[in-house]
Formats: sequence, C-alpha cells, structure tokens
Amino acid sequence: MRASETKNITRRAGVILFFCTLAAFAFAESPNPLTSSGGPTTIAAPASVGIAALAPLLRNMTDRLAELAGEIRDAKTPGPMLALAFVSLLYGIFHALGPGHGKTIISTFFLAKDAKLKHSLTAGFLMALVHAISAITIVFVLFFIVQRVFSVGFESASKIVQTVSFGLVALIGAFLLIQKLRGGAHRHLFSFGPRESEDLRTGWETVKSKRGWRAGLERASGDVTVKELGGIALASGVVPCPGASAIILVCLSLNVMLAGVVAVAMISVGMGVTVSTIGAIAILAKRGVLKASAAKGSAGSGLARRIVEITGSVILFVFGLVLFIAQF
Amino acid sequence: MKLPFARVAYALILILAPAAAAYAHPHVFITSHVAFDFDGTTLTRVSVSWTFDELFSQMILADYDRGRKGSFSDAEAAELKKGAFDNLRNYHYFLALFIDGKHTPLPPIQNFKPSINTGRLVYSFSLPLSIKIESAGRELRLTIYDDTYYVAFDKMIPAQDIELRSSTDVASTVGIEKTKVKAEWPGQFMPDQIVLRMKGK
Repeated sequence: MRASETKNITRRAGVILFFCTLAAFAFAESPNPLTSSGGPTTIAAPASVGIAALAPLLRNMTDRLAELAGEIRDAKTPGPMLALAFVSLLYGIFHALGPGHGKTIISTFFLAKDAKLKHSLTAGFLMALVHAISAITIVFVLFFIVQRVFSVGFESASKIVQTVSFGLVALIGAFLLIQKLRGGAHRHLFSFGPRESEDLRTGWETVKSKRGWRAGLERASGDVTVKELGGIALASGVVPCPGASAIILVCLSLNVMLAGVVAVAMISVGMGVTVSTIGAIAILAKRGVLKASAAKGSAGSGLARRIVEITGSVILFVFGLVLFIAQF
Repeated sequence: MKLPFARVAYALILILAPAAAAYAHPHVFITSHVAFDFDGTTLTRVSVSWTFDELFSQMILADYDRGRKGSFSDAEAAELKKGAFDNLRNYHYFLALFIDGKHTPLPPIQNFKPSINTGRLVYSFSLPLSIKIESAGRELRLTIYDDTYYVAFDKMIPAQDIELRSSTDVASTVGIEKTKVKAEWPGQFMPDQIVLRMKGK
C-alpha cells in the first residue's frame, strides 16, 4: 500500500473519529433544571438550530398528549385513545431525535461491530421494550409505593438509573475494546507478519475473484451476539424519557392507567424507530468507508476497519466511564 | 467500485449530526411575559411570568395541587417553590442581564408566586433593579434561555409578551434582537434578547 493511500484512509477514518467525538457529547440527557437538585451534569455542547426548529412541533404534541389524557377520562368512544396512541408514536419518533435515548450508544456500537441491518432493527426494538418496561416500572413504583412528590422522586430515580446505564456503557465499551485489541476476526493490523500478509493476499484474491468488496464485508460480518444486543438495548433504553414518564403520571393522576401504558408503549416504539434508523445509517456509513477503502486494497480496508472499530469501542468506554464518574 | 470521500463524509454527518446536537432536547415549554416598571426616572423592577406547557403543568399540579382544587395553598406554594423552582439558581433562573452592554449579576429573585390559569401552571417573580435613566440614555438587554435546552421558551413578541409600565419621565422603546456578541453567550445558538432603550425626557 502506498503512503498516499494510507494517508487517504487515515483521513477517512479521521472523519469518523471527529464525528464520533461530537456524538459522544450527546450521550446523556441533562436533568430537569426545575425539579432536579444541582446544576447541569452533562458536558455542554452547542444546541442545534435544526432541532430548535422542531420545538414548536414537540410543544404541540406535548400539549396534545396531556389534553388527550383528559379526554380519555370522559370519552365513550375509542377515538381519543387511538389519537393518543398515534400522537405518542409521533412524539417518540421526533422526540428521540434529540440527544440521549441511546442513539449514540447504538450507532457507536455498530461502528465497533460487524453488524447487519437487521441488528439495528433488533437493537432499536429491544431498546423500546426496555424503555417501556423501565418507564412504567419507575412511575408505578414512585406513584403507588413511594407516594412522595413525583417530579422530585422521578429526578432522583432517573439519576440512579442513568448512573447504572453509564456504568453499563463503560463495561460494554471495555469489553469491545479488549475484543478488538485482541484481534478476533481482524487481528492483522496489530500483528502484521508473514501469516497476516498471506491472509491479506488470499483475502484480497477472494474479494476480487468472487463477489467483489461486498463479499469481503459479508464474509467478515455477523460478530454481533444476542447478548451484546441485549446489553446495548439495556444501556440505551433503561433511562426513562421524562416526557414519557410525565404522560403516564398524568394518566395515573386522572385514573386512566391504560392510557398511560398505551402512551408509553407507543412513545417507546417511536423511539425505537428513530434509534433503529440511526443504527442502520451507522452500519451503512461504516460499510461505505470500508467500501471506499477496499478500493485501495484489502490492507487499506483492514486499517480503516480497525480504526473505526477501535474508535467506536474507545468512545463507548471513555465516555461511559467519564459520565459514570461525573454522577458522583 | 469507488465511493467519493465526500459521499462517505456526508453519510457520517447524517448519522452523527442529530446525535451531536446535544442539549437540543426540550421537555418543558414556557411562554414568557415580561413587564418593566419605572418609578420616575428609575427602572425599579422587571416582573417575569412563565406559563408552562400542559404536560409539565399537569405533572406539577398532580404533585402540589392536592385535591385538584385549581389553586395552591400557602403551604403547597412553599413546597412547590422548594421542589420545582429553587433549583433554578443553578441555572441562573434562565436569565441573563446586560446593562449598557455589561453582563450584570442577577439581583435576588423576589415575590415568587405559583398559580394556575386555565389549567396551566404559571410562575411569577420579579427582579428588583435601580437603574437611573439619564438623558444620554441607558440600555438593558435581557435573555431568557435555558442553555441546556431542557426547557424551550416560545419566541416573544414585544407588543404581546413585553409590557412597559413606563413613567411619563422616561422615553423608552423595546424590541427583540439576536444576541450579537459571542462572549455574551456560551452556546453556538444565539438566543433572542429583549432590548430596552431608555432615555430621560
């Protein structure tokens, strides 16, 4: 591989590193300034003008959710309940475009792994399931058992759950990092010898002679396990969305418990749609980088792959750890 | 087949730009109303009132308006202040004050009062000031913004949301402008500022 090619590949991987670093700022949601105690706990980053433009839409949906909860109480037809389910789904999709909600965790995880598109779908919906169970459990426990001021109790409970979630992210990152540094399917970058050189040559021949670069990628794919997907779904979904929790609480206080469960289930499904999409884009982008690098030879592809995967693991580990420590 | 580098970079921007928009994530929405009070040629007070969105209102009412009577007793108001307002001191009450171009520390918040207006939670409070208006003119800029973006404030309209309780001794104009100076605001997104220009007659 020529020096200029290495430079090009390093430059491409550098772009990923840059955006991953930006994304890492978005790991966490900030606490509610009104009902939490203490100041902002997460790393400051620029607010997005794009998402700011979504604020009026989110506001309308937030208001509509609360109004529908009231209408359901007095309704004789299923209309308001169906409307609540629909608005909740939309709210979940749009609301999850903001930071938090596991997008960064899932997209970084997929940069670190050889994943297929179906994995992003599974991860998104497992995350939705975890989120719905977590939000409903926390609200029900606070409302029926603890019975203290909910808005304050919710902030404290969220903080504990978020701390656990950061710890889990750090553990997953550490696990992936060790896995990637040890080598596994692509250890040649850090242990480049005659055997690896032969592997590369044969690998490149296979790629050229069979189905091109795609064969090379598919051959290496599928190192995502169900356990890992479960772990990543748990880490990304366990922190309840304050919006979803507020709507269940409002439903509980209006004695329309079923509406609360429907709303949070549909919000979670909406969040799952967004998170799956972001995960799928991460998988496709990684493929794009590897595809571009493969054009330079399989050593280039191996180098780009290692850089992307190790970067993804490092980000999960470092930011999980930093944010975990910052909670204390 | 070779993919252009620009396309790959674009794909990455698509993945990570939404995620990179940290803090751009409002959960609570507030409509503000601001009034400026004058006594002779002195600006004595800024009165702020915030009306919350329906969902946050319902959540707080469920917590503090026991029995859903549509108002807060003194004890409930005190409890609410402690549980859902006092922590804003860590967020400079979402306010930044600039007098004649200089960032000025906020005076202690006074007269906090929660109320309920057509089912919505309303917070009212005031900032005591003592700004003597001179013939050369003074300028006050007030930003209402949550830099964590957990709370989103509606865009204010001067004629509707900003009230001048001006004395006959002062000529004043009020408008909304974008924050101009980068150093005045930590974020990249420059919030709107209420700009009050006052001149003695």
